[in-house]
Amino acid sequence: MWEIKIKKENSLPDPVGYKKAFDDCQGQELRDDLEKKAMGIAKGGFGNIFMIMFTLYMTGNMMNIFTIVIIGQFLWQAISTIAKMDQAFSLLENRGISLFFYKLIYLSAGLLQLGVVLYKLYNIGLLPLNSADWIDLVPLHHQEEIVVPYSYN
Amino acid sequence: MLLLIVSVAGIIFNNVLALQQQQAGVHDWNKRLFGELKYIQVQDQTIFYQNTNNQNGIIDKSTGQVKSRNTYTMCDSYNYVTYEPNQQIIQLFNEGYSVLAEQEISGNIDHCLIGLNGEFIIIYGQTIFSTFNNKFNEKVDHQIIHAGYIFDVPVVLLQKQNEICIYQIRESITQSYCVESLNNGKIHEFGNTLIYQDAKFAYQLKEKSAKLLNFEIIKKVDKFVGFSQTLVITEKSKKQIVNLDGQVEYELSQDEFVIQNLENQKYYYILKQKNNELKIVSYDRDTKQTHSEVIELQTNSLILNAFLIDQNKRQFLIQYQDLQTVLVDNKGIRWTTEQSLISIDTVFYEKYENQEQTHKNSYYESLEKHGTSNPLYLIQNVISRVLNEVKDLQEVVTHFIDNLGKEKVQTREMEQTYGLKQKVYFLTTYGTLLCYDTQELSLLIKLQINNQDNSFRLVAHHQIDSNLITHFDNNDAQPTHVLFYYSKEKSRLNTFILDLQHGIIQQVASQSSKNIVWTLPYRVEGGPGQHHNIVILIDEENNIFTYPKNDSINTKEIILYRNDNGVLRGYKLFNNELVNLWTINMKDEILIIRSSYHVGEENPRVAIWDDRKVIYKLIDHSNFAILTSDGDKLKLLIINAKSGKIIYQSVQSEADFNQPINLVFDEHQVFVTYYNKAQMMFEIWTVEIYHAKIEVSFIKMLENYYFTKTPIITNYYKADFEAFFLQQVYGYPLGIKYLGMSRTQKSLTKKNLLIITTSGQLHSLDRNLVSTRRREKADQPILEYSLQSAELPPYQYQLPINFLNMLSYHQTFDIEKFSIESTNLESSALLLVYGSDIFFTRIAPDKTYDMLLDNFNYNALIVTTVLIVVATKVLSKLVKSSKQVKQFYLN
Repeated sequence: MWEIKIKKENSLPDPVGYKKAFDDCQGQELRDDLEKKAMGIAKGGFGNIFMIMFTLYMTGNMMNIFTIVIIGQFLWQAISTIAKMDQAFSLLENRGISLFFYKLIYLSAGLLQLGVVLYKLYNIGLLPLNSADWIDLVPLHHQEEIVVPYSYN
Repeated sequence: MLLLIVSVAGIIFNNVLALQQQQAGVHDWNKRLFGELKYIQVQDQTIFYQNTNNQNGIIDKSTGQVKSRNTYTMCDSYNYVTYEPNQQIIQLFNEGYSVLAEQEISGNIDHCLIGLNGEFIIIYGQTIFSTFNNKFNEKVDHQIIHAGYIFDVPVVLLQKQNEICIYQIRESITQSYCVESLNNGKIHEFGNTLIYQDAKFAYQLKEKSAKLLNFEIIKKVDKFVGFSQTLVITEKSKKQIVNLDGQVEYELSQDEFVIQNLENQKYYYILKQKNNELKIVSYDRDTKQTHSEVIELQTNSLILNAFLIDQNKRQFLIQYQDLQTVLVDNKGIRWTTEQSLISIDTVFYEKYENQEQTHKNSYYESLEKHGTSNPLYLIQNVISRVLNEVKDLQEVVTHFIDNLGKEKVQTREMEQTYGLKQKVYFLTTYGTLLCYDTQELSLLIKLQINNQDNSFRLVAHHQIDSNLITHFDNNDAQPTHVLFYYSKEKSRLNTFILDLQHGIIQQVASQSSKNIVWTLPYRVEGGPGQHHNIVILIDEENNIFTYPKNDSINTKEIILYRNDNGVLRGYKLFNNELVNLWTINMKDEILIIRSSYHVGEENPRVAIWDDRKVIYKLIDHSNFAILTSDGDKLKLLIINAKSGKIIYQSVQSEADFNQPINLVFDEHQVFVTYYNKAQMMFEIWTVEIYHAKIEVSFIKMLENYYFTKTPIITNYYKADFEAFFLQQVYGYPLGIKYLGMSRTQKSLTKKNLLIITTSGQLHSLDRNLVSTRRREKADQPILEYSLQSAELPPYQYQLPINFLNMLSYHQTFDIEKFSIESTNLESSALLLVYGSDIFFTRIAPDKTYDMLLDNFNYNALIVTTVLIVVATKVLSKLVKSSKQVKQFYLN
C-alpha cells in the first residue's frame, strides 16, 4: 500500500520553468526593490532639468549655430525621453507592480524638459505664439474703385 | 604644417583679391549736359558756355563733356562774377579763377561788364548798379534792360515809361539820349553798336544818337550778323542776307544757317544739313565766290544754332533742332552728343527679352497661381523646385562650358535676366525719344516725333494692347505705348503710337479738344479671362473720350478730383458722364496736391508687426493730401475723394515759402518737407494713419483670418472705420530740394526716403527714422495696445546723417527729379536721377538679401573648398598610417 506524504517544506529544487510564488515576506521585499527601481527610472528625467535650464540660459537669446545645436539636442532628448517611456520600464513590466504612477512621473519629467526647451524656443522667437507670426494671413490691400487725381496740368 | 601655411596664404590672397575687387558704385554712370547753347567763348581746349536756361559752364573741346558747371555770370571772354546770396558777396574772377576783387552788395546779379581799361566793373540787378572800386553805387528809379558797349564806351540802358535812355559811364554816369519806345523791348549787340527792337520801334543805338531802322525789315530778322553789319531775314520760303538798308547781299534757302567770321568781315559761313550730309559753304563777300565741302552726318533734323570754334581748322559746333550737338572740322566729326536729355518729359523702361528666363519655371508659376504659403501644394512645389534646380544647374554647366573665357557676356545675360540691366527711354520736350542701356550708357535707339510744333506738350503716356489700334500694322498682343500731346494754343490733341520693337513713332489721331484734365489707363473686362486696356481722357468741359474707342467703361467705380482755381471738385464717372460728388472751397492758396495712389504699384501690405504684435496701416487710395499756405503757416489736409470729407488737418508755422516744399503720400504715410525759419533747418513732417485695431493674440489672428472666409480686415475700411493719426516733426541737417520714395517689385522691401539735397547730393534716409511711432524717451514703458514702438530708437528732433547712405557718394549734380524702376529681384531697383545732369545707380533699400554681391569672390570659394577636401583626405591618410593608431587597433 502506497502512502503519500506531502512535505510542507520544499526540500527539492523547483523543476525547470517553474517559478515559486512569493511568500508574503520575500514578496514584499522584492516589491519594494522594484518600486524603488521604478521610482528611480521615473525621477531620472528631473535630474536633467536644472542642467538643461542652466545650459539654455547660458546660450543666451541670440540665434547662432551653437544655440541651434544645443536647443536641437535638448529638444530631441526631451522628445526621445517621452517616446522611450515603455522601453525604460520594460524590465519592470509584469513583475507584479503597477507602473502607471511611475510612468506618470516619468512622463511629467519628460514634459517638463520639453516645456523648458519650448520656453527657450519661444524666447528666441521660434514658436509661432505671437500674433505677428501669423501676419501673412492678413490679405493685401485691394482698392475696389479707381481714384484719379488731376495730374497732367 | 605645410598644408596649414598654404591654406592661410590662400585665404589671405583671396581676401586681398576681394578687397581689390570691391568698388563702390560700380554700376553707376552720369552724364552732365550743357543743353541749348546761347553763347560760347572758346579758349584753347575749353569752351565756356551759357545756355538758354542761363546756366554757365565749361565744355571740354576734345570730348564734348561738361567739365564743370557754375553760377558765374560772364562779363566778357575772360572775366566772371559770382554772387553768394546768403553772404551778399560778389566776387570777380578771371579765367584762372583767381579772385580779382570782391564786394558786398544786395540783390541778384543779372549781368556784369568790365570797363575799357579793366579798372571798373559795373554790375547790375534789376534797378541797381555799382562798381568794384566804389566809384558808383547807385540805385536807379527805372529798370536796367541792358549793360554793354557802344564803340567801346560802357553804357547802360534804362527803360522809362515811354522811352529808353542810354547812359554813358566814364568819369561819371551821364545821360546820353532817350528815344521813344514801348516796354519789353529786346537789345541785340550789333558790331560796335546796339540794336533795340520792340513791337513798334527799331533803332540802331549809336554813341550820341539813335538811328531809326526800317521796321518791316527788322520784323523779319532771323539773325543779327553784327560783325559784318548785316541781317539774315526770312521772307516766305526764302532767306536773305541784307544790310540795314535792306539791300540783298546773298540769297539762302530756308534750311541754311549763317555764321559770321570772327576775324574779318570778308567771309560768311553757310551751313546746311540735308540727306544725311552737312554742307559747309564759305562765301567771299568781295569776290562773291563760294567754296563748299561736305561731311557725312546722319540726322533728319535741321540746324538750330552753330558756332565757329576755330577759323584755321574750320571747326564748327553745330546744334540741331533735336539738340544733337556735333563738333566738326576739316577732318570730319570730332564728337557728337544728345543734349535734349536736359529737358525730359517722361522716363520709362523696357526689360531685355532673354531666351533663357531661368527664374520663370513651373515652380514660380505654381507659387504665383497657388500662393506662396499654400500647404496643399507644398510637396508638388518642392519636387518641382528640385527638378528645376537640377535643370537650371545642367543649363548653367552647359552654358559655362560653351562660354569658357567669355565671363563678361555671361554676367550681362544674368543681369538682363534679373532685370538689373534694362533699356531706359527718355522722351524729351524737344520731341526726341532716346533709348540707352542702363549699364553701359550706349545710345541704342533715337526717334523723333515730327508733325507738330513746339506748342504741343505731353499730357499722358500709357500702355495699351497693340491689336486694338486701327491703322497700325502690329497685330501681336504686346502692349504698345501711346503718347498724347496737347496744344493749348491750337486746342488740339495729337495721339502717337510708339512701336519699340520696330523703332517707329506713328501719329494715329489728331482731334480738336479742350484742355485735357484727366487721363487714366482702364482695363475693360470682356468676359472670363478676357480683357483689354484702353485710355480714358476727360477734358475741362467734362467731355469723355477713349482711345481706342470704347463705349463700355462702367464696370468699375471711377472717382476723380481736381483743383479748379482754388476750388476742389470731386466727381464720379457714371454712365459715360461725370457726376459731381462734392465741392470744397479752399480759403488758402493750394501749393501741392498728392494722391496716395500711384500707377503701377502692387497691392500693398496692410498689416505690419512690431514687438510681436500686429498693427494695421490704414491704406485708402481714395485719400489725398493737400498743402496750403496761410501767411507763414503751412497747412496739411487729408481729404477722402469719395466722400469729400476732410479727415485730417494740421498746421506748421514758421515755414519759409521761398525754399523748396515737398509733399509725398505713400500708402498710409504723408511726408512734408519745408524750411523752418525759427529752427533755421529743413524739417520732415510725418503724418501716419493707423487703424485703431491692434492684435496681440495669435488665437485671434487665426480666428479672424484662417477660420473665417471673410477676413475681418475688409471691414476695417467700411463699417468699423476708426483711424489714428500720428504726427511727428524731424529736423534734417541738410537742405531738401526734392523728396521721393524708393520702390521695389512687390513692395515687400522696406521703402526709404530718397532726398535730393539743395547741394545736389542724393541721400537715402531710413524710413524708420522718420516714423511717428518712435517713443519720447528710451525708458518709457510701451503699453500692450499702444502704437508706439519698442523696436525703433527713441525720438530725437535732429536726424542723424549717415554719409555712407549718400547714393551719389562724393559727387554733386544739378538734379531735379528721379525715376525708379523695379528689377526682377525684390531687394533691388534701378534709380535714375535727372535734371541738368543725369545720374544712374542701382539701389537696395534693405541690402541685397536675395543676390550675391558683385564682389563675391568665387575664386576664394573654390580654392577654400578644394583646400578643405585635400586637407581632409591627406589628414585621414596620415592618421591611418600613424604608429599610435596602429598600436591602438592591435591592443
